[in-house]
Amino acid sequence: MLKVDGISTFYGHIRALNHVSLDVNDGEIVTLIGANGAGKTTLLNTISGMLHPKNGDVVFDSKKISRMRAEQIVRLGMSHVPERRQVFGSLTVLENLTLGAYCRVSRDGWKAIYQDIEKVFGLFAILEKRKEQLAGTLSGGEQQMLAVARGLMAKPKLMLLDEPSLGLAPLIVQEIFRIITELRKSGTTILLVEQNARAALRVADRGYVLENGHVVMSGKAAELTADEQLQKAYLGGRSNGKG
Amino acid sequence: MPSSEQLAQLILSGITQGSIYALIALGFVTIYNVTGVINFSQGEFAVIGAFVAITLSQKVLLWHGQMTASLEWPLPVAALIGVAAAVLIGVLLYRLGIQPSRNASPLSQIVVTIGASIALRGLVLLAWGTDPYRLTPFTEGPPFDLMGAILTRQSVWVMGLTVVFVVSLFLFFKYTLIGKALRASSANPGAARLMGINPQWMGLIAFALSAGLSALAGIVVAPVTFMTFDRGLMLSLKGFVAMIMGGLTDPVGAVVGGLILGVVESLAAGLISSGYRDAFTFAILVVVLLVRLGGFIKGRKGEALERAGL
Amino acid sequence: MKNKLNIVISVLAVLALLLTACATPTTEAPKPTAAPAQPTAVPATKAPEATKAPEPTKPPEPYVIGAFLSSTGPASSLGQPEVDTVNMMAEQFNKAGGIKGPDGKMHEVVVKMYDDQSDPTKAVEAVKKIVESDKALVIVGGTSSGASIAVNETVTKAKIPFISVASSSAIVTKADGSQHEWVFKTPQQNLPVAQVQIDWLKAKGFTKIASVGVNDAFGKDSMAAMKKAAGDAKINLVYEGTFEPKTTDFSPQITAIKAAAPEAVIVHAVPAEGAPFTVQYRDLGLKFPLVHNHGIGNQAFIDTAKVAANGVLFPIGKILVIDQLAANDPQKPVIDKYIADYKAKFNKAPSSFGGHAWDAMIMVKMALEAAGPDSAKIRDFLETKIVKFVGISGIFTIDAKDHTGIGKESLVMVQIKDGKWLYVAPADYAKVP
Repeated sequence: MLKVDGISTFYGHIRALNHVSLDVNDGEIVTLIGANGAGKTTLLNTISGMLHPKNGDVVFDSKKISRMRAEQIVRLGMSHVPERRQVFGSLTVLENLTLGAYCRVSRDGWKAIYQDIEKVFGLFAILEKRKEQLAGTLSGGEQQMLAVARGLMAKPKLMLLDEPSLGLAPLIVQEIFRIITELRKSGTTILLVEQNARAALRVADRGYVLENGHVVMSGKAAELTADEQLQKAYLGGRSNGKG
Repeated sequence: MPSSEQLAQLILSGITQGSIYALIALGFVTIYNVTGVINFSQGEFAVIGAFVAITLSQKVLLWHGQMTASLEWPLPVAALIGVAAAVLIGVLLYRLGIQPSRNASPLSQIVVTIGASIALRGLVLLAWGTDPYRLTPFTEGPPFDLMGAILTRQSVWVMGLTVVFVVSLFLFFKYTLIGKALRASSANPGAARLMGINPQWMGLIAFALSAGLSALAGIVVAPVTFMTFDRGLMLSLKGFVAMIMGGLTDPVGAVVGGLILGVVESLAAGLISSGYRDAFTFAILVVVLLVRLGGFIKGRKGEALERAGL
Repeated sequence: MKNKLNIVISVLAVLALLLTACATPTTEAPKPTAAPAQPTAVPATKAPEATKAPEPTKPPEPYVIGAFLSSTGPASSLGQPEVDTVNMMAEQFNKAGGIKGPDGKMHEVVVKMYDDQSDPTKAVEAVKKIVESDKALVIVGGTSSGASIAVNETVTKAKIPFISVASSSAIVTKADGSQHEWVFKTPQQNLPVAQVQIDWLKAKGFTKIASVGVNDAFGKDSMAAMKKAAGDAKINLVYEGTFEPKTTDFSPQITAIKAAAPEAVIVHAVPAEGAPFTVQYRDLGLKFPLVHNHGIGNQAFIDTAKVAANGVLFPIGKILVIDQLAANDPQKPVIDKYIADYKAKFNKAPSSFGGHAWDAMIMVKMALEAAGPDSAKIRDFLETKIVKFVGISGIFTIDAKDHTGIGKESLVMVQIKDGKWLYVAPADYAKVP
């Protein structure tokens, strides 16, 4: 489904990604783990078109997308739920969800979108209660759910989730990971960036470890969990720490 | 001591003027929120819209009397084409001036819009000369008497249509997909792109919308206050002050600011001296800046905090 | 977005700059006619007589006339006919071979024309160029009173006679009542205009009037003249007010006039403000008779104010209604010829403002014929030898105590009716409007 082939991304002269390659297959949950500043968010931004790589290719659904803009890529069926939620604070929950389906309105029609909003409410009951509230007035956990729900409204084949558990209370984090598993059951492919490596590896099929813009390790989730070095560096006994 | 009739009269004419400032300020806010640009050719759109409508609906001498336009089309048609002309110029300004310079600083982009306004003013001067022009009032008839104050029919049109335009604009922002996308784009441009919202397309729509709104303002007020080639700068300035009074980004505030500005000006001119009309505008600007200075800084910090997700 | 305060402050700085530029509203605009920087010499039909003449060794030196008028800006509806007239006259002089100087030779006339853009500052710049680089013998110009007053110092210092085509008494009269040595003018003063208005008020038996005018040199002078004339006639000014140049909303003044309830309203303005004022005055339903001064006497006023102009009364020179005046009016032949020449060339009727320029150009011609290329002698000629000169604006007799030379007798009362100028004889004053 997604093939990242040797990309390097720069901020000015600073190299943030160095020759990174990874694959995500249909129906998989793949997780990217690594410390703050390892390049995880940069990698997601490069895949979704917010940033452009200097070299290398990104291929999605057998289309080369590394030169396309973010607003075009989302139409191909890739939904990026950015880090720190970034909901539209001055818009209502319902409006946020509607805009999640912005690129589908002309294709699928309003009826389908209203049905999908109902479906999303099935998954996130709290959002239905808050639907007329301004997104900016929601709690952090509710905003995160809204961000994921908004991403889902694009009916993506592939979802990029950036730190969905960041700054949330343990109970909410559990809830978020429960939803991720449910999404996978419904057939959505997920690329998950997490500092909470233990929880991420628990739901993921495979994982990649990023360090200073390099992929330093990759493999099945179970293998990574078992790796001694990794345990020391990222799983050091903490279940929901901030890395 | 002014009589209550005199006060009522000054307030009525202030609201008429203020309606126009409100519409122009709304245009400022729309463009600023979506693109971060303060568009100083806003007033020129009002001038161009009015001049095109005047030219198509009544007999006008053009190019220093070398050409006579006597189309005398019905006013609604002429007004529509006037608005369309302003929208077209707004779109061209965005495409040729703002979009190519989108990576430049906001100040450079403002300078682009000031340059555009100077060029447009020159164009209007060439075509229509320096004479004031009046658009025929929308409906003929004697004025209304309101508690001893006189309300002309055109003033009723100005106030009524301003309400219609403002309400339509708010409905547009609230209930249409494009309207919501525009709001999303101004709330968080990056996240909006991830929804598939093209920021350049939104900028274009914002410019087109604001240009059209200003042109409508120019057309409805042209029968009351006439139109001259050089009114654009003052209109821009008044709209800008109204926008600042309303808090820079708040459309409701801009409308209220415009109305207050119109009434204050009218009272100042009527009760103190006509020479103080513009002086009061600037006095208000200074006061608002002093009072809100803290507000801006806090707003800035607030935004930065929001961006940081805290 | 991220730096609102900076943006706001920078924008204000830019605006401050723009607003200072505001005082010269057409600076940045392309000039439809003469660029101020480069004078356009009138296309002199290069003296064919000179070649026909029995081969002089070299042609006599041309006589240079400086001119600065407002072909753009708020005063342009006055200035454009003046520009056209000056150019037309120079062409006529040259067609006749030029001006015959006291040396008996025919001298080509060269006009150095500048557009002051209705801006006194620009007018002073133009006059400095006329004096320093064009070396003009005499200057004609100053469409607006403000511009004419502003150049006084420059022409006086340079000792170049200047004939103004604007009306404020301050152009020629010093504070002590004596005349500026080097300045003359052809339009009527504002005081005789006010006197004609007072004659009409007296005929109507009115004693309470409102006086409202544009807050510039012309408006203030005209208002002062009205105040004086009204005082002499024991007529009360129940309201006196001003509006700024380029005002578009007159409701504060009109509201106050309504409250003061005068018997008639006297307006002191040119069409740029006078027409919108008249329209709003009618729109707001005021019924007191509306009397303007001579500033609005051109077609632009009727074109702009349209039906609102109906019924407006104002004193003006005879040119607007010459066809309605007695056939034996001494000015009729001169005015008829000017109208015919102007219509033949520009395909429209001239205005009284063009007439002021005509008067000035003929005075210049007479002075050059008698005095030759000597500015001091030209000045002396203008001050002493313009006696009973029949011009467009009146019959001029200029002397050291009066550099205008015409008064109340040169004015007639005119009423606008259905877009036409109608002569109102003094006997009929009580019947209008």
